[in-house]
Amino acid sequence: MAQAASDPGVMWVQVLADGGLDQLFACDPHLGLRSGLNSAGQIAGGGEDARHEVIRYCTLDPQVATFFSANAPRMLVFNGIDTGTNNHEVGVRYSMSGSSNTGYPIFAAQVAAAFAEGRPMPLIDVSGYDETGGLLAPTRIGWQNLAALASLKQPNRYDYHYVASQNIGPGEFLPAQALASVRAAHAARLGRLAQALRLPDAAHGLAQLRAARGSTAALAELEDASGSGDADVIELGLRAFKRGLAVSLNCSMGGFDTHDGLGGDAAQRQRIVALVERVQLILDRATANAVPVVCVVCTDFGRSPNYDGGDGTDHWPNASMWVVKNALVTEQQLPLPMNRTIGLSSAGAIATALQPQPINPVSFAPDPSGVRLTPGHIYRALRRAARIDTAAVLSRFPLSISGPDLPF
Amino acid sequence: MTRARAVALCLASLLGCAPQQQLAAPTPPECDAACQAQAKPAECVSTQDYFDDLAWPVLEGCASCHVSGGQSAGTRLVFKPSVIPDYLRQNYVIFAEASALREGGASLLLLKATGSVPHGGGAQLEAGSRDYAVLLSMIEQLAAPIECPAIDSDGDGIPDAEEPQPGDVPAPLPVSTGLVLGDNYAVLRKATIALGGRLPTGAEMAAVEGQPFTALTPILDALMTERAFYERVREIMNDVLLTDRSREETGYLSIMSELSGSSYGGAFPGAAEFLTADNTGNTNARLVKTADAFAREPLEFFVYAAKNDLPLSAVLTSQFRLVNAYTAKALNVPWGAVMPAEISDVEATDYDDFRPTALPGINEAQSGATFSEYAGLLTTNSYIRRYPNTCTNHNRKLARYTYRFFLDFDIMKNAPRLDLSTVDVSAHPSRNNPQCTGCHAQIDPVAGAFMNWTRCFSSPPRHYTLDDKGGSCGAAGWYPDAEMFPPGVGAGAANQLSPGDKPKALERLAAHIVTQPGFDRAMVRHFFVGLTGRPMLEAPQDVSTPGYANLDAAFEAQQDSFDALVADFVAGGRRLKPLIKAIVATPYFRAVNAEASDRVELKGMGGGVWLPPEVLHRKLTAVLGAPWIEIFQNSPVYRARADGLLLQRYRMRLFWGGIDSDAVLTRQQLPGGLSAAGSERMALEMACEHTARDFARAPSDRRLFRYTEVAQVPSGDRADPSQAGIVQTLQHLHERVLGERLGANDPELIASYELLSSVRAAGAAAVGAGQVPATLDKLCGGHIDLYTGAGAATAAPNDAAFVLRAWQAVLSYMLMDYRFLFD
Repeated sequence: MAQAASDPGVMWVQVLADGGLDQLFACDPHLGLRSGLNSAGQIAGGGEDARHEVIRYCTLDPQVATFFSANAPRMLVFNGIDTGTNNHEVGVRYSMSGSSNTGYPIFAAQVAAAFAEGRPMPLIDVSGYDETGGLLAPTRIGWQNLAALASLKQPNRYDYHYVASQNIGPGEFLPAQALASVRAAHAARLGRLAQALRLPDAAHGLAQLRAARGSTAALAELEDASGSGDADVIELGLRAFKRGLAVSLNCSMGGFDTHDGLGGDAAQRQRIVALVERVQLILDRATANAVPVVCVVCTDFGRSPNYDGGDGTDHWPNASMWVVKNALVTEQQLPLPMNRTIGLSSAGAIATALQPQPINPVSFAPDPSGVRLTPGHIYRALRRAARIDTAAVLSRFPLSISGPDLPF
Repeated sequence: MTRARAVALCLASLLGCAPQQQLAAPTPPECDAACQAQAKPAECVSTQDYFDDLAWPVLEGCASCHVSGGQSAGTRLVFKPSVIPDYLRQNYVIFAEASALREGGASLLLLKATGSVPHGGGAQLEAGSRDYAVLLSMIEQLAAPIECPAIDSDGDGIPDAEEPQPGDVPAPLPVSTGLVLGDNYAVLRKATIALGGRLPTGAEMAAVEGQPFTALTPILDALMTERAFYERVREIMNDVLLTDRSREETGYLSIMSELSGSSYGGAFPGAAEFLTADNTGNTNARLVKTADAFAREPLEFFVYAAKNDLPLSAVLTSQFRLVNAYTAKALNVPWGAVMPAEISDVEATDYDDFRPTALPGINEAQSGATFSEYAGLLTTNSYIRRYPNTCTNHNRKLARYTYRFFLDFDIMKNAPRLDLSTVDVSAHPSRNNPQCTGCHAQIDPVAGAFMNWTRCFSSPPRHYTLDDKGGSCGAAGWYPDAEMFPPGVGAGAANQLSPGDKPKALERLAAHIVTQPGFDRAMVRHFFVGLTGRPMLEAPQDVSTPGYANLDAAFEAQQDSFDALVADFVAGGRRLKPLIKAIVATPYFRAVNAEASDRVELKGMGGGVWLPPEVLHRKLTAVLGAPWIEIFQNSPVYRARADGLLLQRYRMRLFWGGIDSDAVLTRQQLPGGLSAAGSERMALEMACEHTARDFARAPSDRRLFRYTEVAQVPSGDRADPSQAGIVQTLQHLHERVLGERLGANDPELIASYELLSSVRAAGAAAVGAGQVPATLDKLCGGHIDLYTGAGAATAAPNDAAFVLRAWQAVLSYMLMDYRFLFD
């Protein structure tokens, strides 16, 4: 059955490996560039000749190996993505939005904006870069303020207090009948203002307020939550999606900028383990909540083939990205090829390794006259997969690419 | 060369305009006579026509990168794309401005184009080529532009050059057309709330009523001496510098532990004792307040300059540190003329009174040498901690943000795309590879200027001499020139620091920065953004964007206004208060409406910004007499630090769209579902807590319900003389809460009256039917101290007629309104 225009179908979760993920220890392993990654047995999933087809992964850390082997059937890996920058700010912007232009919304915001109507928290932002391009306000929730959400679910209620040896509350600020009159008068007032305010920013602000106010009643559906970590916010986000309150979720994990002196390879591998555990947690909790979920894992850029001292690595504009879904997502809901890798980086010695290689845009085979993948190519495809490629709200944010689109 | 060809060349391999890909058409190495003839036509060609017909075809190649949204959009040369109706005329002006840039007496444009100085796009022209000659001629002509007699071939009175052409796109209307500015009252109210956190007084309103706009000047002058104004200055500048990160819940512990521990070699032996000993018995409150003061020092330089009417250059060039009594005591340094031992009770001092001092334990050499370094906020712990050095970034983060904050230059917008195939990672590419040196030639010298404030590994911020470093940054105290561009105040040999300058490198850098036009632009930008509440417009980046030409017109109009502000700022001695008055006078602050809708070119004008939580916190206090607080929280820390729900990071501040200077760095200008729900809760809760409380006061002391009494029952007939006090009170509320001055028959006033009377009637009926209690909810009774709970034993007032709750409903209605919650 086709999805209704207002139904995103799946929850999109964008996960940023903030700082620059080392693709060698994850989904684009090459031998000889990292101490500890020197044996063919440390790469699983396929041989060197198949690295542009199957999902190959580094097995140095069992958690990483388990993640890729378990999820490969529901996973699409992009390697050899040319980010064109070594700068964190530009890299994050590009790899999360598909455009290096300033002010472009991240993909999670693009999806959220397209399906925002009537939802009080379309984009839940757990942490990290959350540019929305003015399309909507991200709902920024940290685990530390989960408890404070309770006061927003029912704005007219206050809790019990024992103070000065007296009991106060729980109570309501206004009797329900009076509150209903206030809300109706307020809605009418905003309608009149919408006729009167003609400056573009004022009109836009007012429209956002009206839309937001129109969605807040749904917050009563939100389950009470308290937290001790980001996982609790993710859980809240999944439940919010299930109740029609949210569309997408954005979270990031830091610590990937593992230069010399910032932990080097050891820290990088620890962060990749934490990353796959976080993504697995999202997939598992979504399944437990009967939520079809698609995670888009991206990073600023990759890491240099050489060490910049000790076993630390520098920035390198060749990145990888994963799209991974849980088993509840159907092929119709996510019309993307699964269990394969698209794109590749060059192999070889330091001087020539880890350069994005052009590929044939149809067969995806290496092709010197083909195209180099950029975040723009990938997010154009993801827009189509999410059925937002023709969304009017995104008309201000076209994604430009060179060469043909990916064929899905 | 055609634009299409240039673009094709640029994009062919997705590498951008890398230096290996020469865009210049095949041209002779020397410009012979024939070539010169092409570059200099014999007949009269006006300079504009010369630009259109000869220069622009050359420059089109440049414009494939130097264009809005292009790879070089962050440079000082950004052309308009041909989708703009008058792009040639605009590009003529843009080229003329850029052609004035010189380096060593030569045209910087030509130096860049020939690759004679670092250029992200490499060499694009050969000196002596025909194209070079064209650009050289163009630049020469700009000194005295050529005008030719107009040709009117068809004799219709319209010169050929101005004849309408097929496909011409109507230009957007000028932004001044159809724009409605607020009257003096509206601007006064907006300014007093935004700058002073208060409402205008009756005297102030009377003083501007019917007067020229300049009548606001003395009021603004007085407003900008108030405490709340300086707090707003801190907030605006923290949105830029983000140094408040050290104040957040855990950050203050680390900044204080550095002082009180051994990080400074025991330079502050009294710190630990001061921070833990507290005669009020509350150690945490003192620690928090001291840490706050230490963290806010960079912001205090702006406050200090404003208070003393100094040029804002003082924020970088002041030869001192700033301390209040808390930090003076903790650091054991004089607080102005007061010696630390003489500060017996910090609690009795004015917390906002920051005074200049020397800080030998941090800013002066530890190894017995005589070096010291004071460069305003650049040499504060808080600034350097915020953008920390690591083993590999070599202070580049500090340099990058110093450029951005104080030179209005975001180097990352200038970075070319990288072509990995030409990068030799073993040969220090940031020093040697042309793809990298375009940026690093600028960033690395400034990074080196911070050389005295690092030991090149994790170490607390302070001034280190070569001896202090003990070789940790290399033999010369910094990285070898072969690896990194040497310390300087900018790019190029002329800006390089001499050995004698290096011990005071930041002082030299500061002195240089404040002479640069970028400094003036940076200062104006920060406060323009702070007062308008939204980032400045950027040129639209994609010609396929709907309304591109209108968006570009909006951008250009704002740039014109901005340029005028910069000129005034410079002419006025670079002082903050005149700058703020000038910003208030712009339509960006004053506009309230447009005569027609769909005027995209008016983007950026007027309000439409969701109020920052800090501003709303003060606005609530101004309107109701109290902020929105978490009830019954009576701890000293709560009162010392964050006396309001809107200011607390983990209560409403982030939900509301505020920042934490750490992970959340940008403010939301629009409400979402949570902030909309939060604003409704705020409105309902504040109306509950303050309606009966206000009525309990004598009428002359009331802020809200000044012209009526509880006994006056809204009858539903507002024209009835008995309702006059009620109508007048509604008028007062509309003005006080919403800034609306309404006549008695205004539809909005009628709507408010109808809400009041209908809620009252329905409520009284419900009371009569036993469906709701006759008394107010206890919290709404107005008799309980909201911090301590004192008075809670007293019964809530009777409200059987439902008048109090009806007024409470009206107040809620107003507090959740667009005009209350938005700028």
